Amino acid sequence: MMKKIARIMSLALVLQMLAFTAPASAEENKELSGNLSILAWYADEVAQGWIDHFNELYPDVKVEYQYAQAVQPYMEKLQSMLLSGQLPDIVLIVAENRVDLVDGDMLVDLTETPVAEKMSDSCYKQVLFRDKVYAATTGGSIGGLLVNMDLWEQAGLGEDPKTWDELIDAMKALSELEGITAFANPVSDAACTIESPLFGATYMETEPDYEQKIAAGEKTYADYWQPVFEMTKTDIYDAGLMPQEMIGVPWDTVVSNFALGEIGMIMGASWNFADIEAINPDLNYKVMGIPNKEGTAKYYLGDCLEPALGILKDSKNQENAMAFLESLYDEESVRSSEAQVGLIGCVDGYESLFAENPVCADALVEGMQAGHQFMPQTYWQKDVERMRSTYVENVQAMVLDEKTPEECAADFDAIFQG
Amino acid sequence: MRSKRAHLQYQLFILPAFLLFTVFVIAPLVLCIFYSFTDYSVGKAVSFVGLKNFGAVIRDSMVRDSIGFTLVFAVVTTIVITILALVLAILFTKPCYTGKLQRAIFYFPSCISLMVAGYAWRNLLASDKSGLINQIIMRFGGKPIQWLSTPLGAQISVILVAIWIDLGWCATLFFTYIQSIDQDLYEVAILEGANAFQKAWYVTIPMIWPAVVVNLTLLLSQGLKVYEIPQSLTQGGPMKATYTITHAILVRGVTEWDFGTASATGVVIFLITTVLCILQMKLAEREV
Repeated sequence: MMKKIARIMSLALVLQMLAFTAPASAEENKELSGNLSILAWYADEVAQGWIDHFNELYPDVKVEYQYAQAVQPYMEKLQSMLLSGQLPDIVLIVAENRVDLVDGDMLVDLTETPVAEKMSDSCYKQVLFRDKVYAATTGGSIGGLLVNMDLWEQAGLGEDPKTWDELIDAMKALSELEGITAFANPVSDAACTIESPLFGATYMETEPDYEQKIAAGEKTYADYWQPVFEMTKTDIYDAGLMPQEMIGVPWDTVVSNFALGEIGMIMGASWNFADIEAINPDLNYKVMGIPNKEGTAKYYLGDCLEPALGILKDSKNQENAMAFLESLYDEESVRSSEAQVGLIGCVDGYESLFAENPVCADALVEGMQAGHQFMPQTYWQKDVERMRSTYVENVQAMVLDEKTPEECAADFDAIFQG
Repeated sequence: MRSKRAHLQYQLFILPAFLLFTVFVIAPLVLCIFYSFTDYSVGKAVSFVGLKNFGAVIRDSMVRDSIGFTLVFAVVTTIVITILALVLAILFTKPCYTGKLQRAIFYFPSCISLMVAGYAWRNLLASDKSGLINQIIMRFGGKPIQWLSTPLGAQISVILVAIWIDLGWCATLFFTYIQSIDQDLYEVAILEGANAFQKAWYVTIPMIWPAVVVNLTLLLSQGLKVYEIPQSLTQGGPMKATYTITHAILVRGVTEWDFGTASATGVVIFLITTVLCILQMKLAEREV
């Protein structure tokens, strides 16, 4: 009899404890139900990690994830959904569609929401657009110069370059090694060219409001971009540190040549790590930043904020959508992103799995956490796609010696003035 | 009375096809023409802008250059593929133990997806020593050719890959037509003292002319719509040198959400295509 009473008492105690622990969140979350639809370009496995965590918190919400390949197919699908009125609740916001979505007043302003509060300062700074936050982001990728450190040592080089001239000297030293190409710039990808972080290092510390100055007519794009273009054209392309034929080599071949030790340094990012290590697991390499002329700042590649998810204003399930964005900041979701696709978590209080990775540990601290990442598309206020494609075209033109830095820089102003 | 009923029956039979054609071809075409006179975009009220979009198309260097390259691509590939396919088809008719294998080898490229073919050739034509074609050239003492890194080299490469893809298919089409030519005609030609070229010129080509006309029309319309090959091979570069009309429409429409200009570009292309097809048909009629 006593045993029975003890069992009943124990059971009651356990039930009471359960009522005070797990159900706290269940009680808080139980009112959310219904549907939630998401359109993005992440593979199903990546999104599933976020959805699984969200469904642990909100089991009554049915999440429908739609995948579209980056970039053009995604843009097409988003357009057709917007035009047909079949709106997803959450969409991926990227440089290519942000201006149109904001100008069309299609996005929910997240500035005063817990989503913005949960964002790290670095992410907040980069995701801010016209003084507002439209996308929730938990980190992203880190990129810059991927440097083969064995070749670096063979060339007699020591510490990381502190100034632009030191970097150029390092490229020259690498080019003197037999059979080695010093440097490769992905000239088809505006997000990854060396010009972008060089621009960031040159101006973003002293004139972070440069776009506003251009918009106010105080300065022109040429004022800013011409010196940057002159530096890369004169010091790299005209000096033969990146041969012209590199334009005609598929970038995956360039990455594999780098992994095989045939190229001293390439512009790349954490999304290249898996490929490089699959080709040559023993490669001794690291990510370096691009210093400015004076050596006062060092910047890394931008466009690294992922996932950058926003809520459509006319969506039907805004409350669910907001809860989903908040759940992205939980450790489970951030860790899932890191494990699945290598999106590095940059959330306050979160210890990234990449923090111990010798390839990018310094870059994480100096670049991502310090907010020293730059991609011009993030800052352009209008005609972003036209500016981007002109940027790509003009970098190629400089490599091929078809245009002067002055002409290339002036093209930005011509587009801006429309 | 019977003929009237039969007439009605025919019309009923074509009704499903007519409806589908209207929904998927005529309606989008009419909408495209309508949008070309508006500033239509996502999230904006549509307003009429007259001929503004057409002015923008004419001033747009990207559209102009892409039309230029597309026309060159379409005309060159149409002519070169047709001539080479005729020669190849005639060669196919020569008795040979490996005839079927040869035809299969030449036909094979047309079975591959255009994107896959483009990606494969991108590696073969890599401009440095990693490209297989350059490795072969270097083995024979030559210098690597900048296939994809100069505007002209990239344009030629795109055209070469398109020829490689379509040549076998066209040659097979001609070959099947040649098989149906009455052999008596060749015997008469031989009795008249015709050489191989004269037999081809005076017997083979006139007899397969309907196939040639169909082939010319298909190649030309396909050439004017080309997108996959330059996209996968060069991504439209370098310096947009291999941008085609489809690239221009996609960039202005899909990427920049400027449907008005994209529609106007589409209308311009529609007019160019119509004129070219009419010219081609008139030319083909005259030749026959």
